[in-house]
Amino acid sequence: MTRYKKTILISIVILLTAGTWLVGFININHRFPQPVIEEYHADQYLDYENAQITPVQMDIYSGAQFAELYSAIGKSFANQNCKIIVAKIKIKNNSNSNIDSLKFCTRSNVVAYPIGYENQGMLVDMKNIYVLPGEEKEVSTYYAVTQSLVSDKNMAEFLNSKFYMGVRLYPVKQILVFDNIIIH
Amino acid sequence: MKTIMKIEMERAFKGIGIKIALLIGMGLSIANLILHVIPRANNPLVFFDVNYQIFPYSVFNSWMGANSNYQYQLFIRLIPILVVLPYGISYFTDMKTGIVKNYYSRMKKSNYIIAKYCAVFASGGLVIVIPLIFNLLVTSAILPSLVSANGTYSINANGMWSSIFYTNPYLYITMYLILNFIIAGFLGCIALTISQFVNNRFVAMLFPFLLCEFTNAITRYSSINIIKGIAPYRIFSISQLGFNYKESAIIVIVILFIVGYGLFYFRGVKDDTL
Repeated sequence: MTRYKKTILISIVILLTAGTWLVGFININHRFPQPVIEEYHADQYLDYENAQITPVQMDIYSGAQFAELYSAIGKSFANQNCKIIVAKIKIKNNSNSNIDSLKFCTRSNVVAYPIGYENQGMLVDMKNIYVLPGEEKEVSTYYAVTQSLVSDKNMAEFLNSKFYMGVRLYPVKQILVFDNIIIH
Repeated sequence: MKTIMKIEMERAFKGIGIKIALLIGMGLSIANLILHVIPRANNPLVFFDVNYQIFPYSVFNSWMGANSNYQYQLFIRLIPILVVLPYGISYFTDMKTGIVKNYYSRMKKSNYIIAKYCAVFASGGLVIVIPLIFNLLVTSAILPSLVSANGTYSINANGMWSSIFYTNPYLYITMYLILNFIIAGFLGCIALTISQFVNNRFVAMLFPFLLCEFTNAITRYSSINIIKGIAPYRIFSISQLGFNYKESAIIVIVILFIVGYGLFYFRGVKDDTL
């Protein structure tokens, strides 16, 4: 085989491979496109099953501050070099039955974007988890930010992040965005 | 310089060593595709109904570099051997067979040394990134390119370049592949330096592997994160299951360059061969 023919053959193989890859890439990303982002800020209500939810405020405490404020649940953080995020949301119950706020808590997560912090939280008040029919209730959830998740070195970038609570991710990404963040 | 560079590059890229190294790397890459990627591509929505927080399977949590499965772990562990296979001990064989005398009588020693170093660097770097790029390309053609911080991606806020990963994951992967290329290339060149001190080709060939395993073992005992991050099994890991640090990468690159290039060049130029 002459060198010229070999070059043409290699070029055809490369073109065919690149074309196949391009078709596959376009096809799969057409079938699973990037999610449509729906942001809900304070006083904008997101419909979630039989409830409506809106973000209120986010507080970021040190472990010691959190332990002092919420002694019942925060004791273990008192001597830890960590931050605790407390996210406050309002849940409005539009149904005829009680809504379990814990269920919502375990189905959502708090994200600091773009640094990549992500965590699932727990309710601050575990004794009062139900939202009664017709009631609108402020619910607080907390999320630990330990050194293994965000070290001191990355803390400044973390605190400057955009904080949101992810509720649904795909095909529509519905997030509660916290604009009111208080760093204590 | 141009002529010797061309000769060395041709010797590096047309030898049997690079074919063997690529065969091993591609074998692991294809095994990863068959065992992990294709089953996911058959049903990217397999977990989707269970939890609102779960994304469809995506390129960025499925391709070889995003996983901790045995193919990738084995690949990382084999990197110090793969980088040497193409051309790493060529200086040793050139010296033993006397080919080097032909070169030295026709050109400056330093030209040969630099060309040799560049050829080993390029071939070592390429045998590492080619299987990864192949795996990434195939995965990106059959799984969607989606990313979101939802706990299914191994890179968290402490990970190196995590902000880039969550905003532009392909840029993150490109940057990491470049980093892997550089470190793998320099690692391969360590065999060149060792060739100047030993009399056995297997010692030269296996030295980078022993060096990496030794570093993997001892850095675990350090309480300083940057020292821990020097471990090759961590620094090569794109998934960053153990966090990587920019400082660790810089330290590794500087040390490998000084020991690899510096020592090889000065000893190579200074030594009497003819």
